[in-house]
Amino acid sequence: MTDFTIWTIILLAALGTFTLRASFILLLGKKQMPRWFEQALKFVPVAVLTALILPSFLLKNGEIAISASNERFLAGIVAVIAAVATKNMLWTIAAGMTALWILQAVIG
Amino acid sequence: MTARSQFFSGAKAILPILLGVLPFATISGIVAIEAGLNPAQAIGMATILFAGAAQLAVAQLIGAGATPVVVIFTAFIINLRFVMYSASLAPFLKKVSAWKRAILSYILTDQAYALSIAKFTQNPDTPHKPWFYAGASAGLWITWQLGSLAGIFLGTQVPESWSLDFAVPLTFLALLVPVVNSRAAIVAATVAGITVMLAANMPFNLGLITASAIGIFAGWLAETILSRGAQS
Repeated sequence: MTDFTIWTIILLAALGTFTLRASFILLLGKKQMPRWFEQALKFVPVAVLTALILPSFLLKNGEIAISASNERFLAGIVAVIAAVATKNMLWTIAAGMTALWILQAVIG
Repeated sequence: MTARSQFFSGAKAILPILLGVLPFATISGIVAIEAGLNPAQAIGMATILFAGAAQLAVAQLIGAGATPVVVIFTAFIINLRFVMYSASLAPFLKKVSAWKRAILSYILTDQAYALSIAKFTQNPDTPHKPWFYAGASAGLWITWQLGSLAGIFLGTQVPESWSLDFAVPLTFLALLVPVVNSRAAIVAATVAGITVMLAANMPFNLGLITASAIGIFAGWLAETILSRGAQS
């Protein structure tokens, strides 16, 4: 990707993000958003985050690999347990990364 | 209480949260460099875009060579939640001039929003509310930039064999767990998860956007059906 393309991505993503942030604070003021829209927005984080996470855990070389030979799948399970148990970002990252490093040393 | 002291009480109130934000910012800097951005671009992203989860996703997708339109649209989808915050904060910020509201919009974050809205609803008589929010946001902004700079520097030092790209899904995981807090949310997560895996071979990394949209719809549908069931 060229430098120009990367800058374009950053600027347009930032412009879109600013528009979302300013939507009511700056632009629409007291207008109410439709109820269905408000209800749907609630599910943005949970749906997007799941969709972002799963491929990183379950794909290996572009193929679905739910097996003991996929170290990112196993490290992902460790991280899920850590995340649920601690509800803490640092512990989750520490557990997942440590598991990955150990597994890479053992499997890879 | 003066506007100035309210600004500092906002900054003070967000301090404990900043401890968790700092490593998140550092990771976002490291990951941006690992994905192939140069330091100027990584700094540009932290300052201009200034949205953690979106920054991570943008870096990840650039690293994966996704189509620019998909990268931009993905950032947009991730940040849709800001509309919710913006609507909820707007009544408290309406007396401020337009250009100041533009700045207050730019510095809107999950953390400053959550902190401010909790304060404003618990203590409706809080004076100078915009200043409290501005102070909390300013604390977060400065922390984010410092953490990013540290990460950008580290990112140029860390070898690829450390697989630090894996910190991205781990960070998202830590953000995900607290929001899977209802049956409808579980439905949204499950449907988005299954869809993204089925769509793994869709061109241009479109699977992410498709799965997000279907997941959001599934969550909304589940909640609508569940709440109807509860009423009858």
